Amino acid sequence: MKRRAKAGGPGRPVRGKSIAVRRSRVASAKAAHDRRVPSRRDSELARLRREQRDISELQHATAEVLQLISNSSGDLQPVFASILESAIRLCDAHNGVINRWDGDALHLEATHNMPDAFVAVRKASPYRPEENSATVRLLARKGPIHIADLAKDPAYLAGNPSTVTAVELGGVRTTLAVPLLKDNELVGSFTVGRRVVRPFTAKQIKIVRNFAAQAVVAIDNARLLHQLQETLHQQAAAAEVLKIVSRSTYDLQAVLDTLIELVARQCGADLAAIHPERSYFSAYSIYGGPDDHKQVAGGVTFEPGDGSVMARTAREGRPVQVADVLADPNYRLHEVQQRLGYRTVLGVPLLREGRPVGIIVLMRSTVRPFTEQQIVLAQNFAAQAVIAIENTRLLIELRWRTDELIRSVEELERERNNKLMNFEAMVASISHEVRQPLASISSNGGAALRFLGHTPPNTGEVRLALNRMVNDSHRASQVFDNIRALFGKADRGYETIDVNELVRGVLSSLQRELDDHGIETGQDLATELPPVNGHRGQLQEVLINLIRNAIEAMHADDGNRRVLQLRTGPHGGNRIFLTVEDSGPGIDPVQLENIFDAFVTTKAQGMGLGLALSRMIIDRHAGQLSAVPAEPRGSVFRIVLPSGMRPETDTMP
Amino acid sequence: MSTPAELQPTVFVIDDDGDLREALSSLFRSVGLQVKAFATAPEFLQIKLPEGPNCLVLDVRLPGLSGLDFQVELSRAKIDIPIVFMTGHGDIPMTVRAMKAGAVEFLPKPFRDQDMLDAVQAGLERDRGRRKNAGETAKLKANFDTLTVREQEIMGLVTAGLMNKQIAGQLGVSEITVKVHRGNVMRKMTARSLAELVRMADALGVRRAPP
Repeated sequence: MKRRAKAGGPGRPVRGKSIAVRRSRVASAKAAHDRRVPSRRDSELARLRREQRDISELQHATAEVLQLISNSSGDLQPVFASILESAIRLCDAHNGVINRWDGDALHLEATHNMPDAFVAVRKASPYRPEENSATVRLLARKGPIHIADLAKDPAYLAGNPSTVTAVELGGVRTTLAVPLLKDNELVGSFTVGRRVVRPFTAKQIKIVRNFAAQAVVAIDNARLLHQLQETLHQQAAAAEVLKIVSRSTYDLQAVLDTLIELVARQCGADLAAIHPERSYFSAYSIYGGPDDHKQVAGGVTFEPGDGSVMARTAREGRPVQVADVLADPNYRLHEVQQRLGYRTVLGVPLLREGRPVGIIVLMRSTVRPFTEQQIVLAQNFAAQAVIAIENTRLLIELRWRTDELIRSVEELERERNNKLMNFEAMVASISHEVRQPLASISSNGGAALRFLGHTPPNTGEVRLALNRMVNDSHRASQVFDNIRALFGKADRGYETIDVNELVRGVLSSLQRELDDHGIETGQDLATELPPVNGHRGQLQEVLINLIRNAIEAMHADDGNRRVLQLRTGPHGGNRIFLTVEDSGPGIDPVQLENIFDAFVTTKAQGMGLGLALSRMIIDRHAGQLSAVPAEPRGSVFRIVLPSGMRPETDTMP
Repeated sequence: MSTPAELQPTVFVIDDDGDLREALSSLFRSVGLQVKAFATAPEFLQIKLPEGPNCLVLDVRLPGLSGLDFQVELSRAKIDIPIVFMTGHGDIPMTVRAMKAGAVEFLPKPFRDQDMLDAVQAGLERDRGRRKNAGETAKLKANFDTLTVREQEIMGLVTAGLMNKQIAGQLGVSEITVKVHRGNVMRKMTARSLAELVRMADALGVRRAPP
């Protein structure tokens, strides 16, 4: 030992003297060393090599895990499996477990070399922080817990269930639990164990801690990835909602149906509903649940108070969650709860100017409270729903108002046109009536003058022509008398008229004309027809006009039987009808309404009235004149008139 | 106006207004025209039109059938008679339609008596012209019928502008023979020149297409 110390330590080349000497010394020293301490050097070398190998293995395993982490698409299982496997191998352990901490308990995430029985029990019952258990210690220390023999641990001796499970089902004796910490918060645990009592070395503990750190990175990565995906989903959902909302549909139901499905899916609800505030909108949308979900939910009366989440949400004006309605002593809707089978309920108000106009209710069939994030998401949806409802309401109102406006404009236009048309019809009718006698007067005058110019003057012809001129003048003035009678002081001419009698009178006056055209006439006149109050001359003219129209219609129609049918009867309680039906070719349905507008006059024989004029007269009698196609062919003109005596107060314009 | 030998002209009136019918009849009689008046179109169709020049005074509005439709009906039945229309409320499309279909005049009521008389005279004049043309064509046709088949053939070719030599070649006869036939054609058709013969061939529709 002394020599070696002199020589400057084992394996160290000795400095000084000649090279040869040195060389020989080195050689001899080396030989001596080799000879004297072969085992020490060898084991040292072996140890170094082993360490080297361990380090390279560790590096290799770490690289592999990092690779897995960076490749994982949020699925932690293969990463955990790899980490566990590497850690167990490198630390010479037998088995291992990775747990996830959810703030409440440790949930089994991955195992390695653990018996099936252990896995089954652990999956069924997460580790809750129980007295003395390793979990409690883990939480308290936030550092590794190394137990040389779990079977001698106080927790096991005290019968702590999780410890007993680990020892008896997992066969764990020496155990090393390392907390998974993220920002100094527990997110899980990483445990390796041995089936024999053989504590882990400091280096092994270091290796496990190293892998645990990697597991944290993996968990964090997965969480970030998951968050990113969730955000993307939410954005996609929001985009979809916006699309629906912007579709500007009048169908609010469809918008809300889509919306409730989206919100339910995004927030992970099993059932969902949008309850409307009836005074604001009425569309009722549901998602999931039994077939009669809508009826069941729609039939509930939500009384104010704490009895329902609906009532609480409406009162609070903000989201209200009940984690388990069965555990809530104030909850009252037990019947509904049984029908729909929900446990966790979240109510989110649809707020318009701070006032709830409806409530989104999200339900889960198991006790699983909605996270803060899901509640915020549901609130976003609620805001969108309010916009959609508001849009739809405004659109419907706008359309309604527009329609109303169009209607009133059309109404005004029609009235104006009718007035104009009536006026035009009257003027045209008068001028037509007067033109005939004027043409006659002019012709007779011309004839008289020429006969006077004959040699000798033909006084006989002159006299005849002059007589005709006098008659023509009377006829022209008769036209004006007729017009005055029809449209002048009409009121004076009002009397009680038996319409049946009027029909018979007109038919007999037109009998020759009807016979000339080969028209058969049928009368179907109601007995005991109440009388009407009206202007006999005007009503007669209208009827004559309608019959002449019928004659003309049938005249153009050769080869068919020509039948004119007149009917009278009561129409409702206090009115009567009179119809004139012909067997002519009928009126083009498109023209049906126009025939009263278009100026149509018949050839003047007496007072020829157009349909426009006829309608005007019937209007003045507070009645209606309309035309419809007859069956199987022809047209029916229908007059409806008020029956009975005319009230004293009702004065004609 | 007319030759003394001419047949008596007749004016027909159709109007369902009796007073106006009488007034118009009187007016036409006062200028020496023969008048026949009817209340409806079918009544008018039942008579046979006289040989002399005729004119029809027609109201646009007739019971059952409009005057314009009646105008079309007459034309279909090849009853050629000039028409003067009267209307109580004439509108422009109606006037245009009637005038296009060959109406002489379209008079709105009330009309001046002189306007009516002028219109009727114009109608009669038109009918006279038509009859004269028809008479001349009939005479030409009679002359043409006296030609032999070969002569008719040669008339068609000559009036198409062919020379005798060409005609002879085409028909396979001598040029002399063609000259003889041609002389016969001119004589029988009483044509004084080739130009006149061409007009006759046109009127008869026997002129061949020029080569």
